[in-house]
Amino acid sequence: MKYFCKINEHEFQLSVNHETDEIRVHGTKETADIDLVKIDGGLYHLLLENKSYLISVSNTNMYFRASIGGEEYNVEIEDNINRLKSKYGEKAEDVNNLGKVHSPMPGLVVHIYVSVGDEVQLNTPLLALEAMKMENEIISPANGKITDISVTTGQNISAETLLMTIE
Amino acid sequence: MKINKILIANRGEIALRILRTCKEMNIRSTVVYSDIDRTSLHVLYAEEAYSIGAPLSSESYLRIDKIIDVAKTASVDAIHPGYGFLSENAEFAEAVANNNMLFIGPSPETIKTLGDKTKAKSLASSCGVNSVPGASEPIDSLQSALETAEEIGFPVLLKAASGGGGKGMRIVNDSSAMEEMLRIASSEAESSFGDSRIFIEKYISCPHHIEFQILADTHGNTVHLGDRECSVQRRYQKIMEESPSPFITDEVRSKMGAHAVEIMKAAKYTGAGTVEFLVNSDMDYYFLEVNTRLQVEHTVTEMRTGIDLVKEQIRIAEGNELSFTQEEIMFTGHAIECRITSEDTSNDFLPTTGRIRSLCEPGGPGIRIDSGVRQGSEMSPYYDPLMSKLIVWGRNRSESIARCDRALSEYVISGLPTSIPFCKKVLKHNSFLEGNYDTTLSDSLMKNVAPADHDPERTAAAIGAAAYKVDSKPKNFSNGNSTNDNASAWKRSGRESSLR
Repeated sequence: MKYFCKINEHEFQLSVNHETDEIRVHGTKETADIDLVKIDGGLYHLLLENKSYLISVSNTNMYFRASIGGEEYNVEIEDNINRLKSKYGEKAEDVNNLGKVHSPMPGLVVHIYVSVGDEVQLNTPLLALEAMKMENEIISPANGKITDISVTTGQNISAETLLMTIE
Repeated sequence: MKINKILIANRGEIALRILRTCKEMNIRSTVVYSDIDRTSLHVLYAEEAYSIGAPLSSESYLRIDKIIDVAKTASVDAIHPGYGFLSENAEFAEAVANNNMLFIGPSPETIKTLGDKTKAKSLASSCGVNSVPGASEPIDSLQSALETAEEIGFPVLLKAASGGGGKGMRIVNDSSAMEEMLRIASSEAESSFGDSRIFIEKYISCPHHIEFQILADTHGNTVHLGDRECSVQRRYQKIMEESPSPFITDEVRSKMGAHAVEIMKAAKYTGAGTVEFLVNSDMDYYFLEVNTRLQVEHTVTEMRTGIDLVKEQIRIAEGNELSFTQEEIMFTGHAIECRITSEDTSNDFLPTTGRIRSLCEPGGPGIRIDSGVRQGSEMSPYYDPLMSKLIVWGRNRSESIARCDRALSEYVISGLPTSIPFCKKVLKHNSFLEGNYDTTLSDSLMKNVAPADHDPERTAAAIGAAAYKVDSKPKNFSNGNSTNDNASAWKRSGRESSLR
């Protein structure tokens, strides 16, 4: 399997042979002596030409985040299957999602300022979400009419929960 | 009165911090926990633990009735409130006293006086210390807020009447933003403190936040244990602190220290407390408030003075005299604290939740870790995002900065984003290194500092991320070789040149 990685503005390609466990790095210097061990969930140790890196990785919705020595790298990865998919386009989904307001973080719904049927403008406060004792207002991403409210006051929600639909 | 048993009415790292001193002093202790904290570190290390209800603070850690009930059942002599939760709640301090137990902190009257911003300011002014210009009464309407703001001049700061820790606080730059900010601040104040009243005051631009640690016994002895610079903040909340402040001169420092002591004497303060000042770029200082409790950042003071502040709090509550005078307090070296929080610092400091999948803590010379978490700990949205505190000591500021940077590099927390990368960036920032930074540092850092970008690390990051991606795929399509989860499928080596 080939993996296309992007970090900051740098792109390079990793090939992984899943049968022989070999990794090859393209797009960097020619030789890469690689010894990778998994230490724990999300924690890897890499000897790259005998240089040592302890890498802790977590997953956000957008990319993978790898920390090395307390510094973070956001890594976008596409495998060749996904790259083919995006080449032939699967964009219809995105268009339908325009009026869907999702929660950017987990938290507790403390106020809902609008009701179904309300006309809202871009940036109208829709609801307040409390997370870690701070209240954060979620604002409308567009002009439109509220057609559905999917959460209630007092509800605990996770990140990416659908909050409201605006048409 | 000798204290034999203490109830710790808190959770997380501070509950453990207090527990540790109790053990050292041979004092028995009891902790309380909410349903979600059954396997939290403070419960695992406790001598005794009592369940006090649902995860929401208002159902557990803020329930005076339940905590007093536990204290009676467990027959404790005293209650230590830690910081946050009920620590500055006069009603709680009163309830403790009414049930014939000691509250480890000042008297309910002192908490009330100093918790009232108007009274606290007039107390400071009676000691010759100015406060930041502002209205003396809470805002009663949008109109009056706008009038006051025009009078003292924009930008203004909205502040919760019974607030603290940056909650219910917003900067308003012009009249158009007033309505929205007022609504958010008062709603936040209502849900955090049960008090929606908001004060308005002049916002001092580029301010330094500098505070003095005070200890006062019941025999009239009051001393300060030096200053702490707390100007590295995000959302008006501190994230890194150091002592001594690299900004003020020794002359200003000693004037501020003397004023802090005077204010606390005037308030008839007892126990450990902190006098907070705002300092402008000309080193003019304004009284901000008094925190009538132990602070998160008390640790940097402990590192420099060698004095265990929790032990002193307990000794003072027992009615003992301070065992040292102002002159006998020796300050050695320099200390820095980094608050390690579960926040996504590259995404506007949004709090994050999730499980700590693996954890490696730093060690070595000059390092202290006060942590409330372990591998497997779950960070929930119910409480503060503070996971642990890294505190370092060095013989001078440059040694402690180097040590702090080194320790942050060793600190590995996987599973969720933390404040570690942010703290590292602060340590490398020029104005921090020069010791000339103010509370705007974090904004300028977020805007101007490019993401880390070193060449071999970049490759390593990509390999690690790809390995993680492969490892997190569902394994049920595999060929039947059930592999040990710990032995990675990525234990391999490959030499590109020999493959081609």
